[in-house]
Amino acid sequence: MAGRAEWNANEMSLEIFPEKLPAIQVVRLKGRLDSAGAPRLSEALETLEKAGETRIVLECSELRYISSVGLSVFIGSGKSLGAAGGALAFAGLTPHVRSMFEMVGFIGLFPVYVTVDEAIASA
Amino acid sequence: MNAPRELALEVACDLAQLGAVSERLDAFWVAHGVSDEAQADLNIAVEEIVSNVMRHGETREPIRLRVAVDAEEVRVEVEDRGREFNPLTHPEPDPHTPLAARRPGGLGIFMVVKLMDRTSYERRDGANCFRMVRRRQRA
Repeated sequence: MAGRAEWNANEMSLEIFPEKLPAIQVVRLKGRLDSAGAPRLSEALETLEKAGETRIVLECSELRYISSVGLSVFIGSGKSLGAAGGALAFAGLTPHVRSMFEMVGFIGLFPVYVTVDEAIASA
Repeated sequence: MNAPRELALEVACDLAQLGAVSERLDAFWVAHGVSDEAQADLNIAVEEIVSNVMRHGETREPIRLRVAVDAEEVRVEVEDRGREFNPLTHPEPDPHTPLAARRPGGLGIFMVVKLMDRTSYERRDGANCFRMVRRRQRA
Protein backbone atom coordinates (compact mmCIF):
# COMPACT_ATOMS: atom_id res chain seq x y z
CA MET A 1 0.00 0.00 0.00
CA ALA A 2 2.90 2.37 0.63
CA GLY A 3 3.62 2.42 -3.09
CA ARG A 4 0.25 3.94 -3.86
CA ALA A 5 1.44 7.39 -2.84
CA GLU A 6 4.35 7.19 -5.27
CA TRP A 7 2.53 6.91 -8.57
CA ASN A 8 4.20 8.76 -11.36
CA ALA A 9 2.54 10.67 -14.17
CA ASN A 10 2.54 7.68 -16.55
CA GLU A 11 0.67 5.56 -14.07
CA MET A 12 -1.97 8.27 -13.75
CA SER A 13 -3.01 7.95 -17.38
CA LEU A 14 -4.24 5.27 -19.73
CA GLU A 15 -1.91 3.27 -21.95
CA ILE A 16 -3.37 1.43 -24.92
CA PHE A 17 -1.46 -1.40 -26.62
CA PRO A 18 -3.17 -2.92 -29.70
CA GLU A 19 -1.83 -6.38 -30.48
CA LYS A 20 -2.96 -8.32 -33.56
CA LEU A 21 -3.10 -12.08 -33.04
CA PRO A 22 -3.99 -14.54 -35.82
CA ALA A 23 -7.54 -15.21 -34.63
CA ILE A 24 -8.33 -12.06 -32.78
CA GLN A 25 -7.50 -8.41 -32.16
CA VAL A 26 -6.30 -7.83 -28.62
CA VAL A 27 -5.97 -4.41 -26.99
CA ARG A 28 -4.10 -4.32 -23.69
CA LEU A 29 -5.14 -1.55 -21.33
CA LYS A 30 -2.93 -0.27 -18.56
CA GLY A 31 -3.49 2.41 -15.92
CA ARG A 32 -6.57 4.56 -15.41
CA LEU A 33 -9.56 4.52 -17.70
CA ASP A 34 -11.12 7.78 -16.53
CA SER A 35 -12.79 10.78 -18.15
CA ALA A 36 -9.42 11.96 -19.46
CA GLY A 37 -8.42 8.62 -21.02
CA ALA A 38 -11.78 7.40 -22.32
CA PRO A 39 -11.86 9.51 -25.54
CA ARG A 40 -8.51 8.03 -26.60
CA LEU A 41 -9.75 4.50 -26.09
CA SER A 42 -12.92 5.27 -28.00
CA GLU A 43 -10.87 6.60 -30.89
CA ALA A 44 -8.52 3.58 -30.85
CA LEU A 45 -11.45 1.15 -30.95
CA GLU A 46 -13.11 3.07 -33.79
CA THR A 47 -9.88 3.01 -35.77
CA LEU A 48 -9.62 -0.77 -35.36
CA GLU A 49 -13.25 -1.26 -36.35
CA LYS A 50 -12.79 0.88 -39.46
CA ALA A 51 -9.78 -1.27 -40.33
CA GLY A 52 -12.12 -4.28 -40.34
CA GLU A 53 -11.55 -5.67 -36.84
CA THR A 54 -14.92 -6.75 -35.47
CA ARG A 55 -13.75 -9.16 -32.78
CA ILE A 56 -11.79 -7.27 -30.18
CA VAL A 57 -10.64 -8.51 -26.78
CA LEU A 58 -9.68 -5.93 -24.19
CA GLU A 59 -7.05 -7.36 -21.87
CA CYS A 60 -7.52 -5.59 -18.52
CA SER A 61 -5.12 -7.24 -16.06
CA GLU A 62 -3.19 -3.97 -15.66
CA LEU A 63 -6.23 -1.71 -15.75
CA ARG A 64 -6.49 -0.66 -12.16
CA TYR A 65 -9.21 1.98 -12.29
CA ILE A 66 -12.33 2.50 -14.34
CA SER A 67 -15.06 5.12 -14.10
CA SER A 68 -18.45 5.35 -15.77
CA VAL A 69 -17.10 7.14 -18.84
CA GLY A 70 -14.86 4.14 -19.50
CA LEU A 71 -17.81 1.80 -19.08
CA SER A 72 -19.75 3.94 -21.55
CA VAL A 73 -16.99 3.49 -24.14
CA PHE A 74 -17.48 -0.28 -23.78
CA ILE A 75 -21.21 0.10 -24.42
CA GLY A 76 -20.68 2.24 -27.52
CA SER A 77 -18.01 -0.02 -28.97
CA GLY A 78 -19.81 -3.24 -28.01
CA LYS A 79 -22.99 -2.12 -29.76
CA SER A 80 -21.12 -1.04 -32.86
CA LEU A 81 -19.08 -4.25 -33.11
CA GLY A 82 -22.19 -6.33 -32.41
CA ALA A 83 -24.06 -4.58 -35.24
CA ALA A 84 -21.13 -5.43 -37.52
CA GLY A 85 -21.43 -9.13 -36.62
CA GLY A 86 -18.56 -9.12 -34.14
CA ALA A 87 -18.19 -8.55 -30.44
CA LEU A 88 -16.25 -6.72 -27.78
CA ALA A 89 -14.92 -9.13 -25.17
CA PHE A 90 -12.81 -8.84 -22.03
CA ALA A 91 -10.01 -10.83 -20.45
CA GLY A 92 -8.10 -10.57 -17.19
CA LEU A 93 -10.50 -8.40 -15.20
CA THR A 94 -9.09 -7.36 -11.84
CA PRO A 95 -11.41 -7.72 -8.84
CA HIS A 96 -12.00 -3.95 -8.86
CA VAL A 97 -12.96 -3.77 -12.54
CA ARG A 98 -15.03 -6.93 -12.20
CA SER A 99 -16.97 -5.43 -9.30
CA MET A 100 -17.77 -2.38 -11.48
CA PHE A 101 -18.94 -4.74 -14.26
CA GLU A 102 -21.21 -6.52 -11.81
CA MET A 103 -22.62 -3.27 -10.46
CA VAL A 104 -23.74 -1.98 -13.85
CA GLY A 105 -24.87 -5.36 -15.17
CA PHE A 106 -22.07 -5.95 -17.70
CA ILE A 107 -21.46 -9.61 -16.77
CA GLY A 108 -23.59 -11.48 -19.28
CA LEU A 109 -23.71 -8.44 -21.55
CA PHE A 110 -20.17 -8.98 -22.84
CA PRO A 111 -18.10 -12.16 -23.19
CA VAL A 112 -15.68 -12.17 -20.24
CA TYR A 113 -12.71 -14.56 -20.20
CA VAL A 114 -10.11 -15.28 -17.56
CA THR A 115 -7.24 -14.93 -20.04
CA VAL A 116 -6.62 -13.93 -23.66
CA ASP A 117 -5.79 -17.59 -24.39
CA GLU A 118 -9.24 -18.55 -23.21
CA ALA A 119 -10.75 -15.88 -25.49
CA ILE A 120 -8.76 -17.26 -28.44
CA ALA A 121 -9.89 -20.81 -27.67
CA SER A 122 -13.51 -19.73 -27.89
CA ALA A 123 -13.03 -17.58 -31.02
CA MET B 1 -2.26 9.60 13.85
CA ASN B 2 -1.10 13.19 13.31
CA ALA B 3 -2.04 13.78 9.67
CA PRO B 4 -4.68 16.51 9.24
CA ARG B 5 -8.14 15.04 9.22
CA GLU B 6 -9.37 17.34 6.50
CA LEU B 7 -8.25 18.08 2.98
CA ALA B 8 -9.46 20.99 0.85
CA LEU B 9 -8.67 21.21 -2.86
CA GLU B 10 -9.58 23.67 -5.58
CA VAL B 11 -9.73 21.88 -8.89
CA ALA B 12 -9.50 23.70 -12.22
CA CYS B 13 -12.33 22.84 -14.63
CA ASP B 14 -10.21 20.57 -16.81
CA LEU B 15 -10.58 16.80 -17.19
CA ALA B 16 -6.78 16.50 -17.31
CA GLN B 17 -6.78 17.42 -13.60
CA LEU B 18 -8.50 14.19 -12.56
CA GLY B 19 -5.31 12.17 -12.28
CA ALA B 20 -3.73 14.77 -10.02
CA VAL B 21 -6.87 14.89 -7.86
CA SER B 22 -6.76 11.14 -7.50
CA GLU B 23 -3.10 11.31 -6.49
CA ARG B 24 -3.81 13.89 -3.78
CA LEU B 25 -6.72 11.85 -2.48
CA ASP B 26 -4.67 8.66 -2.45
CA ALA B 27 -2.00 10.29 -0.32
CA PHE B 28 -4.73 11.42 2.09
CA TRP B 29 -6.35 7.96 2.21
CA VAL B 30 -2.99 6.29 2.85
CA ALA B 31 -2.14 8.79 5.62
CA HIS B 32 -5.39 7.82 7.37
CA GLY B 33 -5.30 4.10 6.72
CA VAL B 34 -8.47 4.09 4.61
CA SER B 35 -8.99 0.58 3.20
CA ASP B 36 -8.18 -0.15 -0.45
CA GLU B 37 -11.82 -0.92 -1.12
CA ALA B 38 -13.05 2.35 0.36
CA GLN B 39 -10.31 4.25 -1.49
CA ALA B 40 -11.42 2.83 -4.83
CA ASP B 41 -15.08 3.60 -4.13
CA LEU B 42 -14.31 7.16 -3.04
CA ASN B 43 -12.01 7.91 -5.97
CA ILE B 44 -14.62 6.78 -8.46
CA ALA B 45 -17.40 8.71 -6.73
CA VAL B 46 -15.32 11.90 -6.65
CA GLU B 47 -14.39 11.54 -10.31
CA GLU B 48 -18.01 10.97 -11.32
CA ILE B 49 -19.29 14.08 -9.58
CA VAL B 50 -16.34 16.32 -10.47
CA SER B 51 -16.14 15.23 -14.13
CA ASN B 52 -19.89 15.74 -14.46
CA VAL B 53 -19.44 19.36 -13.45
CA MET B 54 -16.48 19.75 -15.84
CA ARG B 55 -18.43 18.33 -18.78
CA HIS B 56 -21.92 19.65 -18.17
CA GLY B 57 -21.70 22.40 -15.54
CA GLU B 58 -21.14 25.23 -18.03
CA THR B 59 -18.62 26.88 -15.76
CA ARG B 60 -14.88 27.56 -15.78
CA GLU B 61 -14.75 28.33 -12.08
CA PRO B 62 -12.73 25.95 -9.95
CA ILE B 63 -14.52 23.14 -8.16
CA ARG B 64 -14.08 23.00 -4.39
CA LEU B 65 -13.47 19.63 -2.89
CA ARG B 66 -13.49 19.07 0.87
CA VAL B 67 -12.72 15.72 2.42
CA ALA B 68 -12.89 14.79 6.09
CA VAL B 69 -12.14 11.56 7.84
CA ASP B 70 -12.84 10.23 11.32
CA ALA B 71 -12.75 6.82 12.92
CA GLU B 72 -16.08 5.80 11.40
CA GLU B 73 -16.43 7.37 8.00
CA VAL B 74 -15.12 9.53 5.18
CA ARG B 75 -17.13 12.58 4.15
CA VAL B 76 -16.72 14.34 0.83
CA GLU B 77 -18.27 17.61 -0.28
CA VAL B 78 -18.10 18.83 -3.89
CA GLU B 79 -19.12 22.44 -4.49
CA ASP B 80 -19.34 24.05 -7.91
CA ARG B 81 -20.77 27.25 -9.32
CA GLY B 82 -22.06 25.65 -12.50
CA ARG B 83 -25.67 25.54 -13.62
CA GLU B 84 -28.09 24.18 -11.05
CA PHE B 85 -28.09 20.41 -11.18
CA ASN B 86 -29.20 17.84 -8.64
CA PRO B 87 -27.58 14.54 -9.64
CA LEU B 88 -29.96 12.62 -7.40
CA THR B 89 -32.92 13.48 -9.61
CA HIS B 90 -31.15 11.89 -12.60
CA PRO B 91 -33.02 8.80 -13.85
CA GLU B 92 -31.38 5.52 -12.89
CA PRO B 93 -30.31 3.21 -15.70
CA ASP B 94 -31.64 -0.34 -15.58
CA PRO B 95 -28.63 -2.68 -15.18
CA HIS B 96 -30.62 -5.48 -16.81
CA THR B 97 -31.01 -3.72 -20.17
CA PRO B 98 -29.55 -5.72 -23.09
CA LEU B 99 -26.54 -4.26 -24.91
CA ALA B 100 -28.39 -3.28 -28.09
CA ALA B 101 -30.81 -1.16 -26.05
CA ARG B 102 -28.14 0.44 -23.88
CA ARG B 103 -27.09 4.03 -24.29
CA PRO B 104 -23.62 5.20 -23.40
CA GLY B 105 -23.73 7.50 -20.38
CA GLY B 106 -25.94 7.79 -17.36
CA LEU B 107 -24.01 5.25 -15.31
CA GLY B 108 -21.99 7.67 -13.22
CA ILE B 109 -24.58 8.86 -10.72
CA PHE B 110 -25.96 5.35 -10.43
CA MET B 111 -22.46 4.16 -9.46
CA VAL B 112 -21.99 6.97 -6.93
CA VAL B 113 -25.22 6.11 -5.14
CA LYS B 114 -24.29 2.40 -5.10
CA LEU B 115 -20.72 2.96 -3.91
CA MET B 116 -21.48 5.48 -1.15
CA ASP B 117 -23.46 4.93 2.05
CA ARG B 118 -25.18 8.33 1.98
CA THR B 119 -25.53 11.06 -0.60
CA SER B 120 -27.27 14.43 -0.52
CA TYR B 121 -27.60 17.54 -2.64
CA GLU B 122 -28.25 21.15 -1.78
CA ARG B 123 -28.39 24.34 -3.86
CA ARG B 124 -26.74 26.93 -1.64
CA ASP B 125 -25.84 30.56 -2.39
CA GLY B 126 -25.70 30.00 -6.14
CA ALA B 127 -23.62 26.83 -5.83
CA ASN B 128 -24.30 23.12 -6.18
CA CYS B 129 -23.24 21.27 -3.06
CA PHE B 130 -23.09 17.49 -3.28
CA ARG B 131 -22.18 15.49 -0.18
CA MET B 132 -21.34 11.86 0.13
CA VAL B 133 -20.34 9.60 2.98
CA ARG B 134 -18.55 6.26 2.84
CA ARG B 135 -18.24 4.20 6.02
CA ARG B 136 -14.68 3.04 6.53
CA GLN B 137 -15.74 -0.51 7.31
CA ARG B 138 -18.80 -2.28 6.04
CA ALA B 139 -20.37 -5.06 8.03
